[in-house]
Amino acid sequence: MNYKKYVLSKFITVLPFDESFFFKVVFEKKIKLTDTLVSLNYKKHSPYKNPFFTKTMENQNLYIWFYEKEISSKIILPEPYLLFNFFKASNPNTFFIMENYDTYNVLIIKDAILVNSYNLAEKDQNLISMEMAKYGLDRYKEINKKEYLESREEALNNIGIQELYKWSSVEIDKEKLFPSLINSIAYPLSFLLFFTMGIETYHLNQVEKKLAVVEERYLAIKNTNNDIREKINFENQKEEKWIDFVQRELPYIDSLSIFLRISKAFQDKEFIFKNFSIIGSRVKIEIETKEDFVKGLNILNQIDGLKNIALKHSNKKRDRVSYEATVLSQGVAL
Amino acid sequence: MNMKKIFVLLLMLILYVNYVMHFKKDVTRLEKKIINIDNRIEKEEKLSLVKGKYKDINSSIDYTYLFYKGEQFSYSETMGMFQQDIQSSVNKTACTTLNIQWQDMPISKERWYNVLSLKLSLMCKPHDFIAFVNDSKSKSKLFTFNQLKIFKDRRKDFLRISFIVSAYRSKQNEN
Repeated sequence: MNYKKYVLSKFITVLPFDESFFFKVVFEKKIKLTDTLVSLNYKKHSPYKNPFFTKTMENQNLYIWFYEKEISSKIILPEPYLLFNFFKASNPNTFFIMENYDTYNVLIIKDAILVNSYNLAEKDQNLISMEMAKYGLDRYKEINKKEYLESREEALNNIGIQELYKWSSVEIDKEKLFPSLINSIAYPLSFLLFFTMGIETYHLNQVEKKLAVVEERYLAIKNTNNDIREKINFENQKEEKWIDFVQRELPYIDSLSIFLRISKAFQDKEFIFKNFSIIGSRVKIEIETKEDFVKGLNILNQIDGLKNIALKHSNKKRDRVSYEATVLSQGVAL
Repeated sequence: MNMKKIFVLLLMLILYVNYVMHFKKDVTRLEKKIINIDNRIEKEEKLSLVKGKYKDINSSIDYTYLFYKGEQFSYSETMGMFQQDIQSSVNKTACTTLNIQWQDMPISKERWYNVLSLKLSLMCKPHDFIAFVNDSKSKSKLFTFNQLKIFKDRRKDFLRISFIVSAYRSKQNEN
């Protein structure tokens, strides 16, 4: 049994065709009628003595179903309305006759409005013809017992909350609502608050205990590593200190090393240094030579530690050529 | 209305509000703290595993032997020692010292050492200069050479060389 079926069976009573009497009133406009007014005005039309009734208002149509024995359910749903609601969209102008064990249920729908519903002891073709003629219907549908039971089941499953609410007898007294609500929720809410506080306190206690254990464990393992950590920190500080020193004081390859490399590369007697300087990373060389300046450039290009090598000046008459280059920064290598 | 129920509900509401306002702690923050400490424990455990590796580090090794000792000697004394060391390298070669000039002491509170600088002008043949360079580099102290300028002298095969040579002094003694 699914959830909806369970709810339907617990809270809804379907009022059968043969245990109810249908009465309909059409008003000029939609009005609101209390049970007392309905009882005073229309009780006399019931075939039962001291009848009970259930009603609903759809547009200008007041549908009333009288019944004889009191039903304790909060929602009393008349079976004719249930089937009318199920069939009205697909058969808006139809005379239905449904086989129900040893009797027949009649449901008359015209222009998607319930016109009449009642129960027959036996199927009378003349009556059917008369009724159809009376309401101007030409569509007749006979439903056998199996189809009727299936339709009823399906109609009950498809019925919406709004439809059910229309048939609910629960009346909300606004003045009593708040006290009643407080009475209903006072203990559960108090328990819930108490329970929440208890759970939260317990959880907090557990977390604090775990934190204490973890902190203790951390301190223990930290203490065992203190000597190594101090050593590492000391070494790191020392490394940082020397990195700082090298970056400040030894940013480029040593000037004398560069000078030695360059003088070795030009040791051919055809090159005579006239002037040489290294200021910061900038190298300037002036050479006396009868060779083409390209040869000097090629030699400089092959020296490690130099970049941006360029010809600065060339004088063929005086056999002078000067070059400029930049010393590579050496980075940190301790 | 049932007054007993209302009283119980009110009491619980007051208790709960006070609990929230004064006693409720941020458990999420504590849980995050636990996660952080767990991560730290993990790091410490990893450190414990590689502890042996770090035991071999000899922290006493330093490079300060490359510096003149500021703990023992004043700035002037170290400058004198530095000049003597450089002059001894010059004297071992056939180079002639044309000029030696003390540079201003760079004042820097950030640095953990002092820079000692001399401006030196030499006249020598190329191979003598190379001999000077090699001798100065063989010394225990660290010397760096900057602003190197070399000119051809009027005398045959002689060079005029000027440069700034720097040495370093550890900074414990500020005198």
